[in-house]
Amino acid sequence: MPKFEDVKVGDPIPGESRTIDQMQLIQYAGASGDFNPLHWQEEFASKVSPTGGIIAHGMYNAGLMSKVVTQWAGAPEKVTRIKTSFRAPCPLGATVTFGGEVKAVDEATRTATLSIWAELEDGSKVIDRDSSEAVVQLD
Amino acid sequence: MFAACFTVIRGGGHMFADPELGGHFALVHGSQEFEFHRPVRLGDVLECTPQIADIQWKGRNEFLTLQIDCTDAKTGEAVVTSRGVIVFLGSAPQEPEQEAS
Repeated sequence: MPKFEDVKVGDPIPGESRTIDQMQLIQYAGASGDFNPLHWQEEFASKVSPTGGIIAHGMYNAGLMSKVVTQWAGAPEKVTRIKTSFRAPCPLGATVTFGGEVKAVDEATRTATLSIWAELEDGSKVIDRDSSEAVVQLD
Repeated sequence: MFAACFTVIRGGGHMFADPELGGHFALVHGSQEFEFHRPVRLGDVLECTPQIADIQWKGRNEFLTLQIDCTDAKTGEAVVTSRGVIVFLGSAPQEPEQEAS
């Protein structure tokens, strides 16, 4: 769990990569209750999807993003705010890399504000760093 | 991110329960924010109040902001505020004077 005194603006947090497959999306649909066929039915997705195919739930990537932030924070209750802005769609088979960096610290509240992001190998911004952030309560 | 279950998904369900709103499944999630006023704990009973905070459209897409305020049902204390933008694809009215800039 990071101490306020040890955290500096510009510090990166440990990231993570994951390749999205259909089973994960079906599991996420079951866990969340979001059964939009855009995430599991090829025929429906081919008609309405921005990519013309099945894409991941935004909230599945938000959940993975939250995990990366929580691991750095040390405990879920330390993450007091998280905002994820879904810019680019995330197709099946894509590898998403999650990352974050300290962009501000506040001495009065002993909190750090992180820029957070998730990007595909081609640079597509699945979670856009300019409009996504998390606030972490530090020790 | 368990809070999604009692905010985005349940709140979204209410949108579909209102036929006059015209919600449909050709949608994507634009953004989502959770603000935790205190941690969600085992045994909590939360009262979740969804409201449509904003509707705009750009091109052929409609942007609906759904805010859900979750309070402790016993104490009334604020627990979580959820704010999400749902993008309904291709269903915006096409009269040019109604388009947002």
